[in-house]
This record gives sequence, C-alpha cells and structure tokens, in this order.
Amino acid sequence: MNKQSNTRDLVWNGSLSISVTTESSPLCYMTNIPRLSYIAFILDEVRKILCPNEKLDNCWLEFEGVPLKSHWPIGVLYDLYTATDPDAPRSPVLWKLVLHYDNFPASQLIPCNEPTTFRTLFFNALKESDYVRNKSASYILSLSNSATEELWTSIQKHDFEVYQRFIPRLRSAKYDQLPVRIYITPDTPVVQESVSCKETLGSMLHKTLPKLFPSQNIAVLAKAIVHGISIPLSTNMNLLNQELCYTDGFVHIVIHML
Amino acid sequence: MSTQEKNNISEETNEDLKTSATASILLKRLPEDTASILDSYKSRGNEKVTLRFMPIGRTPTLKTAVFTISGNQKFEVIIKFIKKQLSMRKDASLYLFINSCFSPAPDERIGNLFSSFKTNDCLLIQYCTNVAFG
Repeated sequence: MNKQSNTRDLVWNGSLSISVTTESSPLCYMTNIPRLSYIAFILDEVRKILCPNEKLDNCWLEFEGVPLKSHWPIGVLYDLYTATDPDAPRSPVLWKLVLHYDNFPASQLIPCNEPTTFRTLFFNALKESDYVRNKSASYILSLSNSATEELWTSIQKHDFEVYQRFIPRLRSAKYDQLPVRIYITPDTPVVQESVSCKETLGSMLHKTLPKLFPSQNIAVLAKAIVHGISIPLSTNMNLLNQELCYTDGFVHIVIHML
Repeated sequence: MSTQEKNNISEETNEDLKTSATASILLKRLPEDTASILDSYKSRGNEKVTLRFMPIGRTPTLKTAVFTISGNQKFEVIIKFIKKQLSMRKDASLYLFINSCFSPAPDERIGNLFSSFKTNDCLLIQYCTNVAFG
C-alpha cells in the first residue's frame, strides 16, 4: 500500500468511543463511531434502545450542557468541545453524551434527525464545497441518480471501497481553491474561508487569524487539529485537501490553545 | 445603488455558541492577552454585507431586492425574513440558493457565505417556493 492511500485509510478508520445515557433510564448505549460520521446517522438507533416510545424529531444529544449539532462531523464536535490535546499523553477516552427527548433546542440545533432531511443538508454542503473548488457544483450536479445514491450509501454505511471511487473528482482543484472551516473556540463563530492549495497551513492561518498565529512557521499561541491530529504548520494545504478532507468536501480545522 | 436605498434586515441574537465545561476551564487558564485575542474573534465578521434577492419561476418579487445585514447573522434569519416579506406561513416551504447552486445550512454565518461566494460585493440569493436546483 502506498503512503497516500494509507493516510486516507487511517483517516477513514479514525473512530471515537462514545457512551450515551438518558437522565431517566439506567440503560447505557455504547458504540465506536467513525470520526467522519454524523450524529444524524446514529440518533435513531440510540433512541430505539434508550427511549423507544419517544419521537425521533424531539431527540438530541448533549455534552456538558452543549447541544451537539447532528450535521457537523462527529470528530469535529469531539475536538471542539472536549478540547483534547492530541499531543498530551492520555489513556483511551470514552466520550460521555446524554440523550434528551424533549425541549428540542430549536434556537441552537437544526432539526435533521431523519435521514432524508440530513441527506439534503449533506448534499448541499457537498455542493457548497464543490462550488469553492470548481466555481460551480458541476461535479455533484452531474452525478447520475444511481451514482448519487451510491455516494450517499457509502457515507451512511461508511464504505471506503465505494467512497474512494468518488475522491479523485470530489477533490480535484481546477482553480486551486479549497474550502476550510476553522473552529476557534466553542463560543466563537465558525470561520469559513476559500484558500489557495498553494499555501501552507501556517501561512493560511497567519492570514486568516493573524493575532492567534503571529508566525507562519511556529505555533506560538495555538495549534491546528484535524481529525484529532495536530498538524504541522509547514503542511501544504493541498495535502490537507487530498488526504485530510472530510466527506462533505470541507477541511475542518479545530484550533487548540497552547 | 446608494446606501439610503438599501434596507436593513432585522437581526437576532445567536444562541448556538455554547461552550462545554471542559473547554471553558481550559480557556479560563489562558493568559489575559491570549484571552483578549480570542475575545476579539467573537465579533469577527460583524461587518454589514449586501444581499441581492432574485425570485425564481412564479415566486413573487420582493418590493426591494437589495438588503444589508450583519455578517454574524445565521442564514436562517434570511429564510424567516423572506417568508415574512412574502407573507408566507412559518412552516411553508421556501428554498434559497446561493449563486443558483446550493442552499447553505440554516446555521451558516452570512459573513462566511459573503466572503466565499460574493459577486461584485454582493451576495446573490435566489428564492423560490419549490425546488429549483437539484
């Protein structure tokens, strides 16, 4: 196996151990979930086990008082809200979440628990990222119905064999632009930028967040985390595009304060 | 178009920026100057941006097509605004597209969309009451 496909494989297989409890039941749901996956994919299964009589529409997961967005990659949620330092030695972690089935926090979460509503959100994110790369969503829009279905199933079932057939087109960069989302702290609005693949991670962060990254080469105040890995500032953005991109076509970067 | 002709869209407070106990403990330990840098990023993207609305198909035209709004507002504020302008029910379906292409998630910041997808310093938003673009 060459080095390239190995990185993609490792990223694809990165996972988190989570446990979900409710406030009213002694039951606990435990699973390993891919970092690339979404709460929207497991919420119904969790509901069926912990509170089968409740409606899926009302269900949501919480971590330490924060309602978790079902449509953000779960690895991003973990890196952002646990603020775990990937370089610090630690024992394996179980991420403890709480399931709620009432008082849906509509001002904080988008209702997208049903696979069909989440599918619309997901494909729109994919079109948005395609638009940054190609100045149109031509690739996503040109997919046949059966190819779209195949891509969606590969995301839902986390099937790399099928998904990787789409990668060369999904990440092609005719215009050399790459969509990134930067999560500074949980209570700071997300920063989305279209950046050049020719930049390094350090030069991109220095341009976007100059005060937090006063140097292009040395992490002075903060470092950048992608898929739970701290990424050297010298890394080329094109490498992030090719190897560390999420399935929605964005490179999600969580900032960790030093 | 002069500033007088532009209308402001009424804004909402963002409630989705909650922090976890763990993250907040770590952030409280930061030196004061680092904390003030982080604070300054909280208001990043507050600048006003210009939006131009275009109806698709038989969807009615708005009286004014150009509006301004703070970049820190969520996209859902625009959805609510157009529904109100068209006297639609809150739960009626309305589809909005950026550059005739995609619908952003309701929680995306308008400032982010503006900086990535604007044309001639204006963010083009098409709207219609049925699905227009895939």
